[in-house]
Amino acid sequence: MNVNISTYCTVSNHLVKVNGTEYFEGAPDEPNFLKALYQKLEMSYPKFFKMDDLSKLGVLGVELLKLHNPEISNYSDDEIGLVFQTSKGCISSDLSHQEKVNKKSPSPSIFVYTLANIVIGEISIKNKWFGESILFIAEENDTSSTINYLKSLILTNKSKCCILGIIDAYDNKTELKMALITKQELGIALNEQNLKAIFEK
Amino acid sequence: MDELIVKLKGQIIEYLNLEDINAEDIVNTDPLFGDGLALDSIDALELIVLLEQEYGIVVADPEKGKEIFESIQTLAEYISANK
Repeated sequence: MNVNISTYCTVSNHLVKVNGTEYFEGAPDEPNFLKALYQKLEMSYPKFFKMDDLSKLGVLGVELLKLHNPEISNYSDDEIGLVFQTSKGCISSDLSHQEKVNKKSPSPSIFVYTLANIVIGEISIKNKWFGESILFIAEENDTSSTINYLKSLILTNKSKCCILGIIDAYDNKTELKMALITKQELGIALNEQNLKAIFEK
Repeated sequence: MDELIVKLKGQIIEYLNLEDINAEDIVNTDPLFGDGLALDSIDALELIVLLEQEYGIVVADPEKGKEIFESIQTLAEYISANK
């Protein structure tokens, strides 16, 4: 049985591409790049503004995939798996929280984002999905193990499709590689070489 | 009271990151939770922090929270009576 990449997107240096084609570009020094992308996507989700950048980026990435592959909504809410990797995790929120604590004025709304896997929670809440999910934190991305994990979820029918997210948001820099992985015949075979090729387009 | 309400609306927008909402969009008597502004439990904690930091008021009795945070109007009345 094939496991394929159906749709993919990247966000790097304020440049957004979907399936290798440019979708949106924010100014390099734009401090509100994520808000600009939110507006470009014509979203209406006030909770977005309360999120940390990691969660905002993850939520926006999923919206990009949904926009370019509406078939995602054909899957049941427990059939969509989320498999994420991050190297910097929630370091931005950790530092903001530390700064607030040092000033003796901790903020509950910052504290709740001092767990990296909140990005998966926010995506799940926004889309009302409650399938399999996991987030790996490692300095170097272990693509081989992640591919094996994705394939095992799909081939054992724990998930009918998965969203792979390689995500980092730190110091106003946002890096996202996201792909919808399915059993559909159309698409690019899921392997290390192809993932590298599409994400570097 | 009117001055306090205007100030409070601005502080709530800032503390809770309500970027899509302007002060004039908030009706004084609309519920803060549920329908109205649709705030959540984390927002409730932020409101408690706001009261302490901006007005030096500590909400010691959690049972009173529902009454205090019912609307901008009730919150302003509580601040006026306790600061």
